[in-house]
Formats: sequence, C-alpha cells, structure tokens
Amino acid sequence: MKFVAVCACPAGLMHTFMAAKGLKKEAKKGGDEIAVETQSASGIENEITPEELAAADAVILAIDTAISGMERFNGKPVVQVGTSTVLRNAKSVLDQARKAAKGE
Amino acid sequence: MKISELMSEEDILFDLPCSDKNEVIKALTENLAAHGHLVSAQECLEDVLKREAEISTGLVGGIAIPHTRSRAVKESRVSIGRLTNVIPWETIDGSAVQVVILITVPESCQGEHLKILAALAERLMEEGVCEGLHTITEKHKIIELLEG
Repeated sequence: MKFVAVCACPAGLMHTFMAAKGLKKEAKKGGDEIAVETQSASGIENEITPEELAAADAVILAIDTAISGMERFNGKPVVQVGTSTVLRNAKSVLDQARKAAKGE
Repeated sequence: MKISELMSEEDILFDLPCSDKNEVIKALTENLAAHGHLVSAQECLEDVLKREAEISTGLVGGIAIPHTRSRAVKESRVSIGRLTNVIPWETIDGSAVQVVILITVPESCQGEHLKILAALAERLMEEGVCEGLHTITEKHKIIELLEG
C-alpha cells in the first residue's frame, strides 16, 4: 500500500525523527511505500506532495503536538497516534493504517 | 558535520551515583556549565524538566533522552550520563533507566546542528546502538558508535 505520514513532537528535536525512521523501517519491511513529512525545530521537511497525498491509501499522524496542514487530509483515512506508539510498536501502527485504508 | 562536533569525551560521565532523573540531569547540566556550554545551569535544568513533564523522554532498553531548546544554553551539546544503578523513569517499554543522553541546544539553534540531532535520533533506532551505550567502556568508542 501507499501511505503518507507526518511526525511531530513538542521540542521537535528527537522523537519526530525517531518516529519517522521507525515508520520508514516498518513500511519497508512490509513492502509498503511511505512518504514521511517531519514538522520539527527545523521546520517542515520532506513535505508531502499533492501527488503523494492523492496516491496515498491512508494517512499516518505520529504526533504529540498540533501540526500545520491538517486540512490537507480531509476525506482520507487517517490514523493518529503519539510518537511513542511508533517507537513501541511501529508494526501495529502500519497495521492500523492498512485497516483504515480498507475502510475497516 | 558529525556528532563528534557536538560531543567530546568530557561530555560523557560514567558511574554516576544518582537515584532519580532530577539528580542525573542536574549532574549533566552542571558538567555542561563547568565546560562553559550553558548560560545558566539552573535555568537549563528547569527547561529540561519542563520538557520532560510534557512527555517523558524514556525510550526502550534503559535509555532516556531528555532534551531542551533553551535560551539557557550557549552552545549545542550532547552529553551522556551512565548510572551505577537503574533509576525509575517513565519509559516506552517500562524499563528502568541506566543511560541518559542529554541534548541541549540554544533557542537560536538551526541548520546543521539540528540535522546532526536528527541523525542521532535515527541512529538510536538502529540495532545494537542502545545496547552499546550500556556496555562500551571507552568514551571515544561511544562517540564512534553514535556517529555510525
């Protein structure tokens, strides 16, 4: 499947990037494609493109803080978790996203 | 740029006899202040604890990564405290903590230093890195491990 994700945490220094890495590792393992945007102390990086969003089966938000651009995801299946959920069990997050994509 | 630009052997403290997270963060901030990396050790400590109170920075495998972006910090630094005993810390896997990586950056920090920290965050997700932080006995090898 194809996913897009946004990661963000309060200080925007560490958890954002750990969660991003965790999602990418797990997606690769499961044979899924994922584009991960980070909103951190460095600002927005790897911003999800309209094409990536249009092609995505579901959206994963691994966030502990408010993010910008939530309205982009209107009408898409969205799975929202905290960054620590990704660090604890990235597979469960991808599984949730797969289910959401199928409308389960 | 590399992590070695943000840490040297003097930023790594082994065998700290601390019994809680406040004590270890205090020991590390005082060490940073002693080496001239902080504007105020007390204010830095408070800012780290404030961030810690928002969401605990305990990870898995006995590691915690308290951090702050604060005006009390003069220069970006990564420091490590390894404890003689495990201490209670709210962690993702419920483990007690024995290795504390404190990340302190000035409010104005941007660009390259933030990229190094992002790389460090990713490095901590790789196999064997957290284990090495517990067992490696030579400080320069800890820096090499984090550099990847």
